[in-house]
Amino acid sequence: MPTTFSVNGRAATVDLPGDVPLLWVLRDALHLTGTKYGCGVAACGACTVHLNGEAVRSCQVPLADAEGASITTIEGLGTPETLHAVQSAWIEAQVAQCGFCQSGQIMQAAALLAANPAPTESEIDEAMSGNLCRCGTYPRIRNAIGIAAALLSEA
Amino acid sequence: MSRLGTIARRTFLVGSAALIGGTAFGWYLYRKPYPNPIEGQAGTALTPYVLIETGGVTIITPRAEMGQGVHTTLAALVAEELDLAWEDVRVMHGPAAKAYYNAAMLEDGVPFAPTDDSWMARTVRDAMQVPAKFLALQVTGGSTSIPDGFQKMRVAGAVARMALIGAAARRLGLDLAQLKTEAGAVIAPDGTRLPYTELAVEAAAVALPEEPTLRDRAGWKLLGKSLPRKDVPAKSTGTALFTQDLRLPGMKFATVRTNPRLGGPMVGFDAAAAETLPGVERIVALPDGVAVVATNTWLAIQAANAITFDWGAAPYPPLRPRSRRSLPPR
Repeated sequence: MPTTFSVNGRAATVDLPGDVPLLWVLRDALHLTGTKYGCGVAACGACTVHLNGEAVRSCQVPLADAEGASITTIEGLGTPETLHAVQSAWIEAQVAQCGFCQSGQIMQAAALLAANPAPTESEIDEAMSGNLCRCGTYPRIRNAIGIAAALLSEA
Repeated sequence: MSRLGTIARRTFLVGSAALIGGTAFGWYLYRKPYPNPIEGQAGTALTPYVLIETGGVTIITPRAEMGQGVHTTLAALVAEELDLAWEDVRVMHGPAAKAYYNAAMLEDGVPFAPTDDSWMARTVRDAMQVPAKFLALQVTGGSTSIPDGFQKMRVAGAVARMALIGAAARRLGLDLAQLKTEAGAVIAPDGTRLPYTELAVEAAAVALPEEPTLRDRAGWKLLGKSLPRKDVPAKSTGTALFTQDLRLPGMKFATVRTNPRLGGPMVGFDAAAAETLPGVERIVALPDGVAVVATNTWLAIQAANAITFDWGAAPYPPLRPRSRRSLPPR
């Protein structure tokens, strides 16, 4: 049975079983490969997207639950030409190393700043604790979130 | 034989083999460059490492970027000699091509410590560049990218710069010595700027110097400094392409199950239930497992989970209690 939802502002209809995780719908059916598969069990945060504005692990959201929802992926947050403030901050702070976890990190950080425009260090650490980075870019992530908060408050 | 004697003998054998190998292949062939893999692209390829199009200059950085910053450093080596503004530099991984062989990888394969700078060690390392070229290994690893690229990327930039100056000299009817370069342009004595992008086609017709003079370390503007990495914007926008992000028209997705006892055979399997699951296209038997091909990765994994296997014994002996006891106490 087809499922219809919105991805990055565009309507999408997918004919896949309702239990297929949103992650695999985005990556394999819609070819939105910016969202990464890390662990598949919500332990790493690499697959984080926004579902109706809330950061969720797309490996744990069955397609059926996305019916009618509005989904934003890293590709919809901003593009290389029109960066979101969090992405600008990520570049300014030179956060990425291998880069595999960074889509999820950025989506988690964007959701944090949307809910809390001026988070404290401990609030940042708490919000970001579910997103793992094997390269160990955590200090730069914390720094970038501070830069992004400043950028957003100026805007 | 004493230890010293053994080492000396092995050193001599490896040394001779490498040197004889070099002569057998012939120095003429060794000197002859590989075909330029980026020639024929839209734009002008001055060396295998520099592509100039109307839109700008692209530096080919043919080593795998894994977050170690290799695209940035290799591009900086070229940009330093070519006189490009860092913000204007574009990088491209480039195609798989023999021109991008990694000589340092084989050089490091010689039986000398990296710190051994004796005459013999240097001779054998130098000789290894000959087989490296004929094996044409385009490899990233072992911290060899910069030792391999330090000279050749700078030479590529310097050669391209000389060709661009040559083209400008020809166009303006001036001597080479009267021209200088700055931030992607040749500058005439009267201050006229001739951007590289406008000179590239003419520069391709200029005979390239084989051994250009490289800049003195004291004059470096980019090298030795921390530069914004060229791979960071793509990695911050979900547009960096990782292997598993490759998508081709009509592409299928597959997963594999193999014997959990490493190297053990597959005696049999029952995929009757798996075959009926949605999205499954084909189940392929392999010597020690199966591959499940489906329309979606997750559906392939579900089908693989629904297969029952009869795995054969491991090719290694089972762990015996005695060997467990021999482990140090925790």
